[in-house]
Amino acid sequence: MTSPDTTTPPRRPTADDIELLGAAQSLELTARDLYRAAVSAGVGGDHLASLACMATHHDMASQSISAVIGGDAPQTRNDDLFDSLESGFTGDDVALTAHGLENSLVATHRFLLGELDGTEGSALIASILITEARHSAALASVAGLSPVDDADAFLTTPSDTEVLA
Amino acid sequence: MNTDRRSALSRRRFLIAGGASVSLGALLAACGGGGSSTGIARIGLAPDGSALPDAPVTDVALLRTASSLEYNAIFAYEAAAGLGVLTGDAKSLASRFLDDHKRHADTIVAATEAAGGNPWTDPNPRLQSIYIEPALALIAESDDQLGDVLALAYALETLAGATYQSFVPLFDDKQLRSAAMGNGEEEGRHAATLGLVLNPARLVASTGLSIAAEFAETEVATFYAVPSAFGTLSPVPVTIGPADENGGRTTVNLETPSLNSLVYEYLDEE
Repeated sequence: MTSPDTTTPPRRPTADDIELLGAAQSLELTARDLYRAAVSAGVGGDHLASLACMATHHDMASQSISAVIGGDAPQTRNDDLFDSLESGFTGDDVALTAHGLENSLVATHRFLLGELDGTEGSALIASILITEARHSAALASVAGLSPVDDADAFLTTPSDTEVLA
Repeated sequence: MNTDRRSALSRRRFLIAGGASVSLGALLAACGGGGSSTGIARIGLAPDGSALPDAPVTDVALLRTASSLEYNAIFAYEAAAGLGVLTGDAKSLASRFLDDHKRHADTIVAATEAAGGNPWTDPNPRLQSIYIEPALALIAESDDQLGDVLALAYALETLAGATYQSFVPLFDDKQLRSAAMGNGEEEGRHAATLGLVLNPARLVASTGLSIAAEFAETEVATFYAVPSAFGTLSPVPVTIGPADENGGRTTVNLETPSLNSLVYEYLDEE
């Protein structure tokens, strides 16, 4: 078999990539602020420290996206999304609410991977996606679900998960 | 004086040897025929060199490598099941993970065909020989086979997720990047689920994070549901097997496939 003719993808983000990555950064900042609100509210029981770490993970993700797109990074959260989820993150259902958000972030990042041209941006998004998928599994445990009886909550992103970007 | 004589002898020996070489060269050239050749006469016969195979890192080669890793995982889970040490919830989880890897393999095989390639449906030969078989041999001699099987599964799932992640910037086709991470995220979830089973007290590692002291760990554990802020491409260590006379055990470092572990298309012709 011969190799198909292909065009080498660009390394740096294109103009369209920058717009998509900017939206992704806003989502990461929103997630960071929601977890910080949860920690401030003292919810999460024995796993409060894990929620604090997840807040930091999202902050680091936002900073890395900023490093790729530079001055075009919005550096602001998505206020509508924050407002819609804040009560869930500061109440007893924090784990399930956060589990849903992480699934949405994973679905969004997979969508982005199908759209981004530049390899720098896509490599970064893939590395963020892996960790957020692991967040989702961890949060299913915090929510008291069973990895055997409720396996799908740990192991899959539901096909009808909302894409945020 | 002596020095001059040695120099003279050396020159004479050189001239004799050189003359002999020229004479033999002239003889061989004459025997070679083709008097019209203007090329430099050759002495002896050199075999034609065989060209190295053309081995571009195409989307198809990456897909074949991805499916090969899925078959490595299938092999490992089936071998672990054969040990008979997995029971209860651990057995149920392993069974689910095995089914997932079979499904992943099917999707990659289909993607390979869609990309015009010949699907690869065997374990990756190199990873099988340097990681899987040695690890299983160590576990067969271990005093803690269940613990070792879970540790190996955690490492293999982490490696599988990292492999898909590492392929993302290599794919030319953007849709393949997204499809690959559909499998990659599920491998990450497998690893996370094993991590929370093995270390339920602390799900997220605090190492390297800028967090309040009250949330930082005082000791670093081996297993976490979420070990880092980003999916890393670092080697994944797994310590397994029997202890030696000093109590030490073998650590195998699993690494994402390098260029000499990809399943290139030319391998079909070997």
